[in-house]
Amino acid sequence: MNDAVKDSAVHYDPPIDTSTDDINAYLEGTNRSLYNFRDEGTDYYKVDEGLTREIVDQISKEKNDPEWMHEFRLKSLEIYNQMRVPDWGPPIDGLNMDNIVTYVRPKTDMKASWEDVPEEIKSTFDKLGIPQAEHKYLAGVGAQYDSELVYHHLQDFVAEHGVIYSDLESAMRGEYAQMIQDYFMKLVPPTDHKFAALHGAVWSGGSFVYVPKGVKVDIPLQSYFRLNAKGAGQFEHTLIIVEEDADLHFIEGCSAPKWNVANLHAGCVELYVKKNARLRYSTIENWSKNMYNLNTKRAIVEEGGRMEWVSGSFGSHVSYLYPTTILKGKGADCEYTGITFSGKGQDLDTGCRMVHIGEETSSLVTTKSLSKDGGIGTFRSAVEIRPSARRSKSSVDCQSLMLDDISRSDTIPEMDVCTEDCDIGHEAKIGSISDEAVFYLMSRGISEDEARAMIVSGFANPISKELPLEYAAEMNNLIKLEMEGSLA
Amino acid sequence: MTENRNSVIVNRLPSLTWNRLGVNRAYVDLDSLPAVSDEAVFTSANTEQVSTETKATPEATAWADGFTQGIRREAYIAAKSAIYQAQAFATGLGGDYTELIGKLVPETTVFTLEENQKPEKPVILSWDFGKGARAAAQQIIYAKKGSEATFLLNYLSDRDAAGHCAFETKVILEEGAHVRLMKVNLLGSGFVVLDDSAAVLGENAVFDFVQMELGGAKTYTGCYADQCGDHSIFTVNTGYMVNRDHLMDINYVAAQRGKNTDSKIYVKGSLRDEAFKVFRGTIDFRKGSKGSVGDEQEDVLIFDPGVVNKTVPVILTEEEEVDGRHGATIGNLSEDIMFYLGTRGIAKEDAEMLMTRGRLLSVAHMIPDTETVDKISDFIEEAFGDHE
Repeated sequence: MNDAVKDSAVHYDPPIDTSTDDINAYLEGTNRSLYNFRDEGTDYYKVDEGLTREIVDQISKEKNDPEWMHEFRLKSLEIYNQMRVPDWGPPIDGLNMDNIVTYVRPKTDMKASWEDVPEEIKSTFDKLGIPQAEHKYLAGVGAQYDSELVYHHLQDFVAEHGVIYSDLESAMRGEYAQMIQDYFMKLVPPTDHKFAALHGAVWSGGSFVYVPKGVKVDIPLQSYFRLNAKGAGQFEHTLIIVEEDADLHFIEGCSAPKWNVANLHAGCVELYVKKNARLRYSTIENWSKNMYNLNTKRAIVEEGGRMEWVSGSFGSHVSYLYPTTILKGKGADCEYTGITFSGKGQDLDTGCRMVHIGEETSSLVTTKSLSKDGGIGTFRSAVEIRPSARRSKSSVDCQSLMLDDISRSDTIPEMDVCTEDCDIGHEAKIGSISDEAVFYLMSRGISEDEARAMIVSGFANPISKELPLEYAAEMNNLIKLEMEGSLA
Repeated sequence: MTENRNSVIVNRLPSLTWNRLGVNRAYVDLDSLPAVSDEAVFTSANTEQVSTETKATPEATAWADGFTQGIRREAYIAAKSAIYQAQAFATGLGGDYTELIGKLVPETTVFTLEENQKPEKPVILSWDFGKGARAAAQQIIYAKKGSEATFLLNYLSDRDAAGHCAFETKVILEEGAHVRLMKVNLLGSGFVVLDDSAAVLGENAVFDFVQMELGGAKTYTGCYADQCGDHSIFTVNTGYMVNRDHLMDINYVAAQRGKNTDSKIYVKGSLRDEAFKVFRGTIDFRKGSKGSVGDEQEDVLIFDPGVVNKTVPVILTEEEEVDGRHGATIGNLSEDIMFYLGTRGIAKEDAEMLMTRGRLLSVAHMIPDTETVDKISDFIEEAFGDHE
């Protein structure tokens, strides 16, 4: 442990009960236009629509890839062309790769000061509150606009202790080149599935974080991804290595304006949690509702390590999102806490996968799902207890709330147990808002709409309280926005 | 049929999940069935209580399908995967198997319960495969308005016999009818068993399905209940025991269509040695099932490190005012229980047998035939004897 870092760290508020007045105050004045504004003409260079070897070559050249990466991209393209589209999830017929622009470079290179970011791009992040958030409670920020990072900065007091937070491409070409080559797409190989292969072929942007042994970063780092270009794809890659006894909280946010054509997000997140280290990875996903979000996230946890996922899924037209955790070392554990809100025109297929390999590993999954206005919400999970995972434990609890009778809510969990010496529990419940609860609240002078909103807020509360105040407030805001209209 | 030589796909999961998990479907390789030349010996008891007739299978199938004409058949499951194979009378094992058994069985036995008829004794149908034999049979039970009866199907053989069997039972329950269908598999350790069940329930109908799956080397079984009628009730109670390198593959589906319907799927079992088991259980609340409830529980005891257990408890919902739950507990006997039994001088193996027998007999005691229950009890004890 590095006391110096701990001491010098800016204190941030611990997770709070989001039903407090603080959050309501924070929410005042927010509206939908917060996320749904467009910037015209900010793209500077883009490749043609579609996916060909020439386009992959072009991206590789544009990125100044080392030779191994160029070959890796081409191999990934080959794999992509051989793999089939999944036959088990939401339909993705509306996604035509021939119409997707896989690389869009904005009119700037990466800056280390917001003042240097071109005004039209900076204003986007201003509206999203990113510079303000950095100033108040973040140890570092990376901001990606379309295919490239436009801003990256790490507070000096964190950098002084050896923490690396940079864009992945600089790291790949600089002093961490070997480390990137050793770790890049080793957890999520291009053969994993079709869209992992696509990512391997056209990835661009994303962050590299390295937390040295014993360093505990008390305040979070954040990456924010904004996809502005119409009909474009975003394929950022996040690689985080938290060394022995180190500690990190990483926050990921994303949004996009709504266009009348399909956009695609096929990012990839690879997380390495070493012995006795801890990593919390929080996401508030608010892509626009023309987005196909086919994202892959995976963590591997060594002995005594701890992985925590906090995930809020609100946006996208279609989502396939299942963070996977490989509990490799003895005593490794993982907690997954997630909420998914499916509204009109959305088919959000989310969940998680826990793979227990080490002895005495444990996993705890708590999810909430809400469906309304014809939205489809699916919780999909797998808990795999391998023969070596003796004395392991897993508990899964998923709850779904149907807010009307034109929506869908499904739970499709699987448990695959290959040892006798384990303890596995699973519980799921699907239901609607109980009339009795609404009646009780109304009998206390609360209107029906308010009563239903309160019940939904209470339902989501176990998730939002896992987030820092400002992010819990953003999540509650999103729920509030989603609930508008459905209550009328 | 599939491209894999002479095989059929059975027990498809109604809503597909990741293919890598290997639970979306099961393949039965018909070329690997144990070769036997003799037919199993069929006996029956108490059949005089009900009207019995045989019909040519195509005719019987078409007649039974007529009872399902009002059922909305979706093109997609869970708005995602296209329906794999439409079945007029949906069954647990599925359309490929129904097609297969249609070829294997020239005649189908139809049992009819007249309106309000309630025979006291269970109708018992038994197939004794002796040292090894084969059998294929299809039954249709037609329970008219207000009738009530119990049907018990026993599959028996010598302990180490090998053979194969293919069965299918369809139950049609009119308004207020109540049928208890009980199936007991006490076959030898070399058997391949395919046992399919299905029911269509009218208003206020009750279908109780009890299954004891204790024998066989490879067993594929399933049950699909279309709860079309309001206030209909479908209950499953299953006990299974799988040991050696045997396989058990189960698929239960409750399609709840009527208002205020109720489904309960309770499964408990034990796995030893290198047993491989897949349990799929789906509660499917269809549009119009307002006020319905569904509950699904599996309780699995695993005794050895070589076991593979796959459990897939699914809830699909396209209706608002429903209440669906599922739960599963998987693991070994708790240390507290083992310690307690140890202090009473009970060895580990005996404790495992006692706990297995206790669990399975809690299901077996639903069978209103003491001779069958005794056979089940003996079968469990002998199975643990083999293990030792």
